[in-house]
Amino acid sequence: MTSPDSVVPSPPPRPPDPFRRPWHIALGIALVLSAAFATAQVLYWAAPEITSPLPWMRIYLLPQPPALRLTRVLLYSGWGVALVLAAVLYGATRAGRVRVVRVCRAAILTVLLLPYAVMALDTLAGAPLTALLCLATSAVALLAVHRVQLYLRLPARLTLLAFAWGALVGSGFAIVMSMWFGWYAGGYLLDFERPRGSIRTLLALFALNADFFSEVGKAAGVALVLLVFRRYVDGVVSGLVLGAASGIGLNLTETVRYMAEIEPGQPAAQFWTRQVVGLLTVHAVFSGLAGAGFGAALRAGPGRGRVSLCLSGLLAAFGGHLLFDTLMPLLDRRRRDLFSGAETLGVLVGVPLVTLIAAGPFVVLCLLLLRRGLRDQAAVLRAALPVETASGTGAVTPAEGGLLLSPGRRLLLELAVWRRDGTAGLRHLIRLQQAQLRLLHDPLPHRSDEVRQLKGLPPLSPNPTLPIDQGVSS
Amino acid sequence: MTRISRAGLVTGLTAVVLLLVPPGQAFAQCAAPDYRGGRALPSGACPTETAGMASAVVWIVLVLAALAWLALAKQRRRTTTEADLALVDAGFAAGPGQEGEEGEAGSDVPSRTGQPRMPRS
Repeated sequence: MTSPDSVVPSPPPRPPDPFRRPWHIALGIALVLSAAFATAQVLYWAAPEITSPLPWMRIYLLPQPPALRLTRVLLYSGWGVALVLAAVLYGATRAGRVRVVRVCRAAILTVLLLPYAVMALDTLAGAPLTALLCLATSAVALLAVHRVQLYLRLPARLTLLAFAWGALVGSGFAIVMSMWFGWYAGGYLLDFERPRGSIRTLLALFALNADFFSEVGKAAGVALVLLVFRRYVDGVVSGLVLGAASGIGLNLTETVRYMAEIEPGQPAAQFWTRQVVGLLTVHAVFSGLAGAGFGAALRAGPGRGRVSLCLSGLLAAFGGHLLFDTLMPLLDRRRRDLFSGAETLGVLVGVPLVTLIAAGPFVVLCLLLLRRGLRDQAAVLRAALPVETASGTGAVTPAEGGLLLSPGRRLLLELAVWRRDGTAGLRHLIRLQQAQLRLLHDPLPHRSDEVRQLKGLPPLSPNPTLPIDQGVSS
Repeated sequence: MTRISRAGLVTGLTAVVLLLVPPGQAFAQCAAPDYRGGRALPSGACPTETAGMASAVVWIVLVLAALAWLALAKQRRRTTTEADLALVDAGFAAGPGQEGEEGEAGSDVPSRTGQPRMPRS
């Protein structure tokens, strides 16, 4: 019990829910991807015919793979189905039928976005052993990214969801848009009289197109996850983690594609470059920057600042990726000169070195953002701890507060509980501590009851709104 | 050998096998390490077997290091961790509905090992 004369600090102010219309934003994201695909399709149909005597020009005349044809069929069908569902949604919204509205919204997003996964699934299914190997290494990276959340932690299923998005929809969208560009750009940009002169422009624009749409594809998934599950998002750290997870997913599919399709003669070199050296330093970093911007926007107040944060994150991701892809060929030439006659060193030392030079600044930026986000979280938790412990709810005691604010102690405690009580005990401990941290970070009324339930204590409110958790002390 | 160590060894050996099969040329043409998503241009000789071995070594070392740390951390007892364990157990023991292994409620009844335990789901 607190003394009535003691000064109890006021709880930290909670930011208002910044997204009053998340469904419209989610639909907007899906429509942007569809518009990009439709634009590329139109450009392809309208492109001048490519005629050239040069034999290597045939790369612009390759037939469309079956997976792309299937993607097109599914997308066109999806657009039609989405229109029908939109009419149903309109009627259900006017009638106030909440369940139908939710189902319609989910179905619209599914038919607009899921077809892009066909390309990625085709790539992964074409080299299953390679995909499994890359999945193992990507899983380790995913675990590391998930665990950098030293305080508030997203549910693991959200990190996995972002990873799956990046591996399937994000990478599928990027592949499709790169393919379209490869087919229509030659018709618009090549000088058929002297094609070699315009090939440099074409390659530069190819990189710009590929980098832009790969970042858009990854960021779209991060934005959707942040919107739908924004009650779990704390800000920069959550966004950064989701972005990195999406990047790891896209990197997985891209690695398989390079090892099995693009450069099948040197799979080990591709694995070294993408699943060892570049696993957490390239795609994960760039989409992490975009995610950090989105996460910060989610916590910001309404207004143009929120849009600026989103655009800044996206621009940092795209700009970083473009700079990286522009620098790498130049640095690689230096690498070959430096390590000529010592090819082994060129692989073991040269590849990490050029990756460090090209991506290092962005890695540092990500780490600084992460550190800033974690420090801000810790400050909020420290400020909220005396308020919560003085409230007398029993949800967080002063001794528990010290434990909650020490990630190292919590990690060793998790290992001790795992040793003594097994996985079930460990999961229960993590659930309790995360509920306590969320209570400190956002002291909503039902969160005290949630923590008390997990501790086996009766709820404080007379009509608890939470369902009884079947995993709690029973 | 613990289960964790066995799992780590199997993982590492699998990685080595997958990377080294099929055997590549000693000096295949290497692609420039770019991430454009399109066809990369060849940029000189590259010992792919070296790349494969290096990848396997790095991952095996990482996995074994993590497993070794886990095994050591699980075995090592720290005073602070024991105190934190008692703190968490006390927090659960204060609840009225705790179900111990013997089916007895209340915080005064110790478990089979003599220590109050977290509820098991």
